[in-house]
Amino acid sequence: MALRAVGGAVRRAVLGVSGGRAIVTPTLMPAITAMSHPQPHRHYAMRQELTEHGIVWRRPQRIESWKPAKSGDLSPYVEPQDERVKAKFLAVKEALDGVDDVTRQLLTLKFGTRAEKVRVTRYNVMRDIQRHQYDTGSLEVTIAMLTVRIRKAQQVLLTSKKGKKHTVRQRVTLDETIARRKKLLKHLRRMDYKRFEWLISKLDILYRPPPRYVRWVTRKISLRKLVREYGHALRTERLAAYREQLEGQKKTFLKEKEEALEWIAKTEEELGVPVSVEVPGGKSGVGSA
Amino acid sequence: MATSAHRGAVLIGQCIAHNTRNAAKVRVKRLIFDSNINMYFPKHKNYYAHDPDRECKTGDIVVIRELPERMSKVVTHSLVKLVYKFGDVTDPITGKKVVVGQYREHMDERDEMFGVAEDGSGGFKYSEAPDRGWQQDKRDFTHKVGYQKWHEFEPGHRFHNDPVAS
Repeated sequence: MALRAVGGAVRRAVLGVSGGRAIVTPTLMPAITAMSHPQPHRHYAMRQELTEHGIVWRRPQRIESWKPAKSGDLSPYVEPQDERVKAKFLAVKEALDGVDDVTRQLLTLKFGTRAEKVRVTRYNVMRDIQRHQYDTGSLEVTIAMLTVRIRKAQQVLLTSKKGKKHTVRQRVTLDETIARRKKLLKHLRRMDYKRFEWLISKLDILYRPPPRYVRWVTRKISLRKLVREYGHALRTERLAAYREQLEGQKKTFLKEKEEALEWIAKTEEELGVPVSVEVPGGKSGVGSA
Repeated sequence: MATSAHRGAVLIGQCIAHNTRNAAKVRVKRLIFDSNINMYFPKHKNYYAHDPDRECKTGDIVVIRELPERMSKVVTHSLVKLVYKFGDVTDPITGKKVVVGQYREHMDERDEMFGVAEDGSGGFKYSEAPDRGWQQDKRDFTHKVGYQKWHEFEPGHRFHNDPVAS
């Protein structure tokens, strides 16, 4: 086993794929980030007789559960505009009109902390979702607030240059938040389907059912499935080809049949026997008595 | 015979996600009595009911009846009635829409009394909401059977980046 591991490490070094901790490049695209830093590739011995037919299994890349691709967040965190006034001054909006430009700028997010910026995003989302102006605790508002928190944490984790070891608590908290939101979405779906659909379209969340069975993903079983699928495809293809071939023969066959029937009818008439066949070309036979 | 007495009897159950066409998969729950230990145990059995128009959605409560003879290899029942739509329940006594313990109209009235904020959009409106299922195959995939991702399919394959796979 040790030898195999060493061999893998050497091969990786030769191929130039960075093993171990991947260096995260700061990207904000949720779906692509999962692909941007490849994990060390695992090598499998494929079965020769299957590879000849083009049946090759590729193990799906593991995506960590906190990543947007897994949590179902289709759009990233939205940063508020710098010109926005901080959320705590929105209550005294009228007073803001009287102040001079310098003071006004100081009250905007340009000079705000990170937390103040998040608060404005939360305020925007809440105003969009809430049922009435004092609604802060309904199911959909709770889900929306969790979504803001999740997306912010994902953005922070995806852009942070810290190593895996230093972000354990953050990732665990994020996982728990995602699980909580999933549970609340499940409840909302059961209670009020229309509101649920409206909410997932508004927040751009992908809601997928959990896998019905959880098994190890193995080469053996996956290859078996691929072979079955290959067989299905082959069968449909060959059946279609055979059908086409038969359809092509149909015209000549029908012509031959018509000629033969005519000859039979003619011969029977000549012999004085009642005509036993029906000629397709309009003239119908008497039919056998 | 037991089968003939059973035939024609109606069953009530919940629709579950499935991959069959022209049919709904209905899970009927029962309590089976174990006379050895004088105790009931929950059991379920799945039936397939003929549903060509896909009236049933996952989670709906439906009444089914056994067909005189099976329609196909799996389809043995016909759909009699859709009792409760999942998450879109109508109270059978008053005929009004309800959300768990509340009437929808009462909820709307309550929200109206609080009023919408100046910069708010007023949230969700039942009157403007489209029929259930408009997010199906877009963001909501509960009508399909979830599975683990087991292979990286080529681009262009029908299972390439399948959103149902997790």
